[in-house]
Amino acid sequence: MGTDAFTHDDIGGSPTPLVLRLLDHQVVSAEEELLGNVDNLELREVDGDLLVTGLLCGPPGWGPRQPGNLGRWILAIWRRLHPDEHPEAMVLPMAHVMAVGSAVTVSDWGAAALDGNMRLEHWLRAHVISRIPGATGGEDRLAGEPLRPVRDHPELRRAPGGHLLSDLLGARVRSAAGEDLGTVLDVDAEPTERTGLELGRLRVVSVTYGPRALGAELGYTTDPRQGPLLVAAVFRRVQRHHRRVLWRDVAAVDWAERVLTLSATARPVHPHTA
Amino acid sequence: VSKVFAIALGVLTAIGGFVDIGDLVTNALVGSRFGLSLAWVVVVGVIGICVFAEMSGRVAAVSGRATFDLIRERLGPRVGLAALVASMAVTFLTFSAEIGGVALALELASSVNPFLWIPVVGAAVWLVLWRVKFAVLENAFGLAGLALIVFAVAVWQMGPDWAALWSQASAPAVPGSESLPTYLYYAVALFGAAMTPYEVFFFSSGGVEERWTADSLKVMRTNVFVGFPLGGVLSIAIAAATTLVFLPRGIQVDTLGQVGLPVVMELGKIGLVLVLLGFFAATFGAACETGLSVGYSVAQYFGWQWGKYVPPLRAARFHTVVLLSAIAGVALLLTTVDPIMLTEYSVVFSAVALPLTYFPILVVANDRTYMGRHVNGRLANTLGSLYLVVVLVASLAALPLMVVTRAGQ
Repeated sequence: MGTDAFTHDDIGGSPTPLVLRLLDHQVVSAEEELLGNVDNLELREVDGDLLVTGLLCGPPGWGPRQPGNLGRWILAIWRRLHPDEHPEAMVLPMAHVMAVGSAVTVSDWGAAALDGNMRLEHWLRAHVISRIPGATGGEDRLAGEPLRPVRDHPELRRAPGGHLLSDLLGARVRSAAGEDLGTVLDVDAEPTERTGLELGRLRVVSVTYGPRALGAELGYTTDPRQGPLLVAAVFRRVQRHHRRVLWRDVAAVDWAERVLTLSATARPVHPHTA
Repeated sequence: VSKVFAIALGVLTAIGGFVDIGDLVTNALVGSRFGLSLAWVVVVGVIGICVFAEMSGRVAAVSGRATFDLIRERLGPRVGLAALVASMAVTFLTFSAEIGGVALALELASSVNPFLWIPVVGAAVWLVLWRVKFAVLENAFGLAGLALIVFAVAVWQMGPDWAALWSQASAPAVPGSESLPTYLYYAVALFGAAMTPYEVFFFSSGGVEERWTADSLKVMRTNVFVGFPLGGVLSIAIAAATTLVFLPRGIQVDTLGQVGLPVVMELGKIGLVLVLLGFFAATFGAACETGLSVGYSVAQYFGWQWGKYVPPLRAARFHTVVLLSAIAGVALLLTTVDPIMLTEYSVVFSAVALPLTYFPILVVANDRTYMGRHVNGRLANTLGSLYLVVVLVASLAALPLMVVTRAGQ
């Protein structure tokens, strides 16, 4: 299928907009099993750098990105239905991400971990679908499915002090003088430790912000070649005040208040000029 | 030879698969009230579905991603959720209407009350979705749906005044007995019937299920550009048949029996058999497509394993959604809601929900990172942008027109 066609052209090289190219993309195994969507990304501050360290699939990643009460309900329902008393979100480390194209391909171990974490699928498989005559294809797995609890795998737990990409998206951006410049719309990152087999962790290099979020995920902000002309012209006008600024020009991040303050020397430019 | 056969089969199933309960009812109704003065909308709608299906088929073949997958990706989780709820509601209404249509066709054939047929049909549709292979499903019902060609034969046999029909169609005017808002309301309904979102969900997901690649593009385009327009000709033939029989007598079509009556009057028993076979195949096939499409859209939004190319236990969530929607579709019909009315509403709401699915596909078909050299060309973009405007206008106009005309009365 198509995913193979993209491995040569994936996000290995230049900085890549995470919202456009990674977030909400399909996660697949090497055998093209569909394992979920990239519902959120884990960020961690390491030695002054902001790194993308892992991806989240399922309600703990997707819930916080829904507005207000809807988001809280999704998380509450997930916690209530979860067999663990204090359920933990599973974060798949970026070391298990092999390639990013039209889908995100993960390692076999990563696929097994994600599969083990699909509780609704396993519950429906065991209690509903397997009861219907003619259900095929899962007998081997129904007995002794390795449902590893996340707490037994320290590498799959959320890092203490870690953040979610959804905490950063929508955060207010202020100039050094305190002037409000808009909200964070996209974050660009590049691989820092690619070995050839795996993509590994990504380092955040810049953020794109602007006063209007309308259509921010469509790709018109970051890709000047994106057509068709009529739509591109409309979005170029709507998004003319969008700016990109290097991450090293972000002087301070207040994660609790969700505010980014730019340094006095920051030189924001329109995303298309870079 | 096998390649020619495959292309011919694809075209034939596209023709038969194009017509569903929405096209049958809306075209027949419009023919009986407006003659062929709205035939231009069918032409606009058919070109639109060709543009939309070609783009989403191309994206599916090149990127391996089906339509709703991309909608979530480009609209984000919030707007994507709104698009999911809207398209699922419309597809579910259509699904229910198709099951009702099968029950009505069986009633015509057996005189057994449709409410006895509805649970049977619902179970049969689900059984087909559960057990029957994708290709068998697509080909069997698509080919049997070709029986609807009897409408064209019947029109031919009636020996109509072709010049008068042509002038009705080519110089459209609002008939004296109807108001302009009603005319426009049915224009939107016909457009929605031709461009139902589920057709594209089904088409692109089918492409992924059948593992299309860039090499499949030629076959895909032949199916779309030959099959759908011929399906549109079938739609116009239905409208022409009811125009000739009902319009002069001032009778409005509002049952499935009336839709088939012109054929029976003209061709007798053999016409009756073929028209019933056509009704059954078209509605049953579309019931399967819409049922699957409900599952496709939910599963693709969440990234779940979906489809009939994996064994059912590997896609337990997908099959649960399909099962639940079959049960809910039957339950909706058993409230004694009129399936014909359900159909009329479903085509209008199709037009309302269309931009939410059309727009992201237009954007992705322009994404060079995904599409490489298969990115939209000048023609695809000119038509694509033009239809973006058409789709938006139809969507915005649909509900006000529905209110003003009290749903076309």
